[in-house]
Amino acid sequence: MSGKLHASERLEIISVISGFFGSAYMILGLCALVARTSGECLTRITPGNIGMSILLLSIGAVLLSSPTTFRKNIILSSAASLVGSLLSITAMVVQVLDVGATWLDDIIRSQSFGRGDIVAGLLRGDAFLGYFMLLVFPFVLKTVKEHIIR
Amino acid sequence: MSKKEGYIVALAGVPNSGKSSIFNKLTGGRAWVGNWPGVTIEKKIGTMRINSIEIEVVDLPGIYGLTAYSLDEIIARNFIVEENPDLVIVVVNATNLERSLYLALSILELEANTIVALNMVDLAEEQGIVIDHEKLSELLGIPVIPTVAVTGSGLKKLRELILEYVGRSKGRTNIVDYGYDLERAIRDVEKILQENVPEIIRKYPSRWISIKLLEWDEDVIRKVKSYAGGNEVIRKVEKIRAELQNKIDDLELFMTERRYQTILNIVKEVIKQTKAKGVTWTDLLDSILTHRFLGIFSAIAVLYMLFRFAFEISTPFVDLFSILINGYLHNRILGLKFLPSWLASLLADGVTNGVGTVVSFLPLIMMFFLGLAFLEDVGYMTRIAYLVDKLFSKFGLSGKTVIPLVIGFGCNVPAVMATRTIEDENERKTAALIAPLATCSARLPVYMVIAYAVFRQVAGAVVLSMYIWSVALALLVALALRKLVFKGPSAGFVMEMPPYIMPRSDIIGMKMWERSKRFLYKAGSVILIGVIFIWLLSVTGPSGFLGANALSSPRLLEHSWTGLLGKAFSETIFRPLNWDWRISVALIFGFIAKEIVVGTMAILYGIGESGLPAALAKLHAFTPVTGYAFMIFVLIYVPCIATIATIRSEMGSKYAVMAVAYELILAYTLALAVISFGHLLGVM
Repeated sequence: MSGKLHASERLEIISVISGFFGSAYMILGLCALVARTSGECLTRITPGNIGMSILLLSIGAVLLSSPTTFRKNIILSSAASLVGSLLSITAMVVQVLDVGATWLDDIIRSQSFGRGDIVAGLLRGDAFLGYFMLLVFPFVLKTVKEHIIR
Repeated sequence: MSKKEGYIVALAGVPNSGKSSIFNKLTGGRAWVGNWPGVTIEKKIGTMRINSIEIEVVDLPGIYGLTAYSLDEIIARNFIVEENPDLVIVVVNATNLERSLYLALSILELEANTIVALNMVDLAEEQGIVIDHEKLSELLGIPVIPTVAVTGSGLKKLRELILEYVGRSKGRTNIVDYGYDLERAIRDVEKILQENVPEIIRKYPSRWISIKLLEWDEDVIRKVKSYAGGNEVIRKVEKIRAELQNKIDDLELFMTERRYQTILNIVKEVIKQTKAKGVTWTDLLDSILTHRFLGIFSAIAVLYMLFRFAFEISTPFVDLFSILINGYLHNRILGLKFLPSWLASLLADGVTNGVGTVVSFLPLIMMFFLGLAFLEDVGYMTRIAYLVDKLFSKFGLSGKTVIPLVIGFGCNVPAVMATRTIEDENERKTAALIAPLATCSARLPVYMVIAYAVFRQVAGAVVLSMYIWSVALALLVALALRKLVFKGPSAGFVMEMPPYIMPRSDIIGMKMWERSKRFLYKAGSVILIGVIFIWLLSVTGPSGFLGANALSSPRLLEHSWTGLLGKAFSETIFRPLNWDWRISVALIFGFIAKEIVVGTMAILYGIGESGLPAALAKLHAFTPVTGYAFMIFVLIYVPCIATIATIRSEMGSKYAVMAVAYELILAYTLALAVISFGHLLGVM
């Protein structure tokens, strides 16, 4: 995909991808806020606390700044994609570790922890988006390394 | 090298030059910590052995120069001139040679036997900076060895150089030419010193003393005045300064400019830029991480993830510790038939439940420090200080106050001590008084217990809110102190942004262990004594010994000294806060150290295998509102006796009393406000 594209086109692609994921994080973050305050919103995939809502909105804001600054400041735009994807992947890793820790804790406390709980934890929005960002990250890193870093 | 045994080597360097990494590599990480004479700033000393010769390595504070404006700089230069180390290693940051060379030149002016470790040459090369270290060595007149401390590259050669140069006699090094008029003035002052106070010349380098007198360095003036004939010297120097000022407006500025001119000339000769300076990874990441809006969003995300990592991932390990200590070990001790019942109760209900509950939080503390050490090591914490500088200035503080506050998240005692690096006296006092509001690691177990007992699903967010309260209250109290007590403008500060580096697991591990060790040490000392004392007050009362089973009998416990004390408080002062008498007792004993709060509750609630949070939840000891009010109270009220003692030794009794008074009033008022707000909302 990338071999025949110009540098600016590749950078534009990563900013568009960042914009897409940024929007997804914003929606999920708002849903987490709604779920916590007034009702249900994408119940199966939304983490239900204010802290997670702030985290998702923060990651969303960083990722969304990539397409919005692309025309004015390509360095800032690329940095937003890079930092945003790093934050996203870290959030995913923490969620996966949390699922593992909860599972381990339930074993220690001799409580039941169903396979459904593990799957639900691993497919929660913040983890789910993180898996995709993990797939995109090598492309982001390679593009930034080749076209921005000197 | 001469044949003397027991050499002392001083390690100097600017902050973020990799000095600590070199210190750890040279000493193998084995160091002991003391205080610098007369002050309570930490002094790190380690030993290294080269060819069976033992060398003591002293880690000097990270400094930019040797002026008299900062206590760290005075400490470093006093050590070099008064303790006479056999060798000074100046760690120079190759990615910012200009800044590091200023310190190197200042040390050379002290005529110390010096070598230079040109560190981070790999990062410099990545940025296209190639330094001709042989040329640098020739220009400075001392050996220069390129190193990469994190990988250990160049350290073998550094050890060889230490062995070769340690104990060599000092040489006079006049690298900086201050110009005709000033050089003549320096010679005149040297002559005056020789004639009036020859003793000082034997102790300190005469050229350095002369330069410092012409710079009107107050610390050196004090030193000269302490000799007979010193006042005469100062009068004559004043006259020379007055004559010079007819030609040079600002002498101090002029001398600094001459030093920088010398540095620029050196840099021009030794640095070769192999590629055009472009965007580095550090530049790229900083464009977001220090951005005024996106930087804040990123910081929120990073810090929240740090808390999730520490609190949620540590849960199974905390529970495992709890089951092993409070369940298995507790029951095993009670089952030892050969022990008298009072001793079994002391060991099981007192020591095991009390100390054990505190120790069971070790995994949490370790994970928190692991995350914090990681962020420090990659260079991110400096960016947070930069981000908050603007915000802090609105509260009459500079970003420099962030450092004591961050240290305070570990322990308030070094946080109060760390305020010594703040030059402005009013700002320093303000920082020392707000440092206890930084929520230290001792308070974490208390938050965790309440959060898991009352707010299980959102425990992480509730604990994080304590940190937000902590910073917000510190800023508001700072604002009040700066407006009402310590008036005056904020001095501001200059901070160098180190490049981001790949973290090293050994360094992170060492930092984590050093900090966690303090927590463990406290558990084995002051907490142990505290819980034994509480146990004693719980099994005795006005009627004498109540029996070893008093702790498992609520009726007996209520008639113990702790029961009476707790009730006296819960029925009077704490009545509006709606807390159980056992909680009142925990808070009273928390004056000694915050860890005792958890230990006391563990003893008084007689916990089982499931641990304290489950016991509190089962007994409905707290509602969400009273629980949150309790957390707020613990956050604010007196940190511990050690912190109060440190404030007293740093600032005097008046300020120690002031700290205790404002913290108690603020803690009570805010806890009451939380309860009242809960009533208003109909939530209890």
